[in-house]
This record gives sequence, structure tokens and C-alpha cells, in this order.
Amino acid sequence: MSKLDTLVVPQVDSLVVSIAPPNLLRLQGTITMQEPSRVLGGFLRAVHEAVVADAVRVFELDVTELKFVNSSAIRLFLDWAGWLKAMSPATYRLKILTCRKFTWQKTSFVAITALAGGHIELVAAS
Amino acid sequence: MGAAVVRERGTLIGDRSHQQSYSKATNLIRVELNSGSEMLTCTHAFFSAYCDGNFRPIVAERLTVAAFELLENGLSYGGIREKVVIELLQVDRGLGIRVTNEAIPARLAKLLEQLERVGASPEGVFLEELKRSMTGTNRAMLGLARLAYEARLELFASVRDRHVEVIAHCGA
Repeated sequence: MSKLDTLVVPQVDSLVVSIAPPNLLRLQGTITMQEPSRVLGGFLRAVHEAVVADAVRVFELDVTELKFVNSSAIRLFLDWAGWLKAMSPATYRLKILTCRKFTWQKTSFVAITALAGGHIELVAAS
Repeated sequence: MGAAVVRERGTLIGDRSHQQSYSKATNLIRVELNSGSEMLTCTHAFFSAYCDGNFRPIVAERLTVAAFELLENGLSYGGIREKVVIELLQVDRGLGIRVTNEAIPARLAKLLEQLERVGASPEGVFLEELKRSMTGTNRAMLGLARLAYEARLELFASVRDRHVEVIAHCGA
């Protein structure tokens, strides 16, 4: 059983979090809680560590149905970019599946990708 | 796009034409909340649903992010003696989200400084705030930068008596 299989998915109002091992995390809905790092920060860190432990080479984060996030939640993805950048060398590439119709994804993820030191790939779905 | 904060005789005002149009705005939604209220998420959901049902998707998305970021700032940084008011307004040249709250002098100064920075360079400030968030240096003021850059909204603020009102304008 992989480390990713053992993770407990947080229950959050307005957000559906699902993991599909070996290499997919899907976030659907909205993130509007005032301190998302308290509920989701630890979980995303655990996902990152599980991906490393499981020796996954490419991990997919599907946000195609993540309609809105507040600015505090954008920091969750920034943190993830920081973890990747801090690994030397990075053991996996993060592929973020985005949706073209959500403006926040276009602006935020392009910038986050630039800050991640080449370890993030963006794929835009229609 | 960006922000307009003009200092005149101690009262900060925005672009004069915007000020005039918003003084005659049609109020579509008005919600009053106690400062520090935990009604942020459901108020935002209400605004989001209204905008989704009444405006084009791109306009709805821009107003929705404005509603959240401005209301969160008002609830988090406004004084506790007065209610925080959020409104969706219709003017001749578009729509706007206005949040009014009690002004705390030290926080007001930071808000206005950020509005000026964002007005000068929306993209530059957005990227700078993202980088600051990454390094964890102080609480980054990403929300306002987001409104100017991501949502392409015009931001302006005014102070009257003890209240500050911030408007995010979405042109028609």
C-alpha cells in the first residue's frame, strides 16, 4: 500500500478533496475559509511527502473544477511550489490541470509556476 | 486599471468621476455584518450566486473575487464599534462592490499605501506579494493586488468621519 493510500482526506465545506493513487489529487468547489492553511496546509504537505516517499515521478493536481479560492488559499499552492523548489534536486514534477474559464487560475498559477524553479507544469483544459 | 487614491484636504478620494457616479449608484444588494463576523463565507456565496445568475461569467467572476477580498479586509481590519457594510452597486459605467467599515488609523494607512502601490503597478505588486507570501515575510496584502491585476478592477477609497469605503469598479 502506498503512502498516498494512507492519507485521510479532510472534510471541508464547499470543497471536495479526492485522491486517486498513485498520482492524482483533485480539488473541486471553492476555498473560502479564513485560514485554509490550518485545515488544508498540513494535508497538502502530507501529500507532498507521500509523493516523495512513493517515488512518484509526475504528480497531478486537478483544479479544473476549483471555481474560486481566496488569497489565503493561493498561498497553499505557493507553499507547495516552495517545497518543490527546496528539494535539491526535486524528485517529482507537479502537473497542475487547470481550467481556462477561471481567470484566477490563469494569473495565479502562471506566476506560481515561475516561482517554482521549473518543477511545475501547467496543463490548461477547455 | 489599478487604483486611484487622491489626497485632498485630509480626505482621501478616488477618481472624481467615479466618486460622482457612485454617489448616485443603484443599490442591488446591501448586507450589514458585525465586525469579525463569521458570515464571510455565506455572504460571499450569496453574492456569488447573485452575480452568476445576473451577469456574464467574466463579470460575475470579477465581482465575486472583489466581494470576498474587500469584505474579508473590512471584517478583519475594520473597527469593532460599527458594522461592516458590503454592497453591490450599479452605475452608468458598470458595476461595483463597495465595502464600508470603521477606520482604524494605523491599518488605514497600510490600506491606502497598498492601494497606491497597486495603482502604480498591478502586475508588479501582485508578483511581489506572491514572493513575499512564499518567504513568509509578514502577512502579504495579496488580496488587493489580486483585485487590480487578476480581476482588472479599478480600486478607489475614501474616508469620511470614522469610516473608510473601498470600491472595486468593474467597467461596463
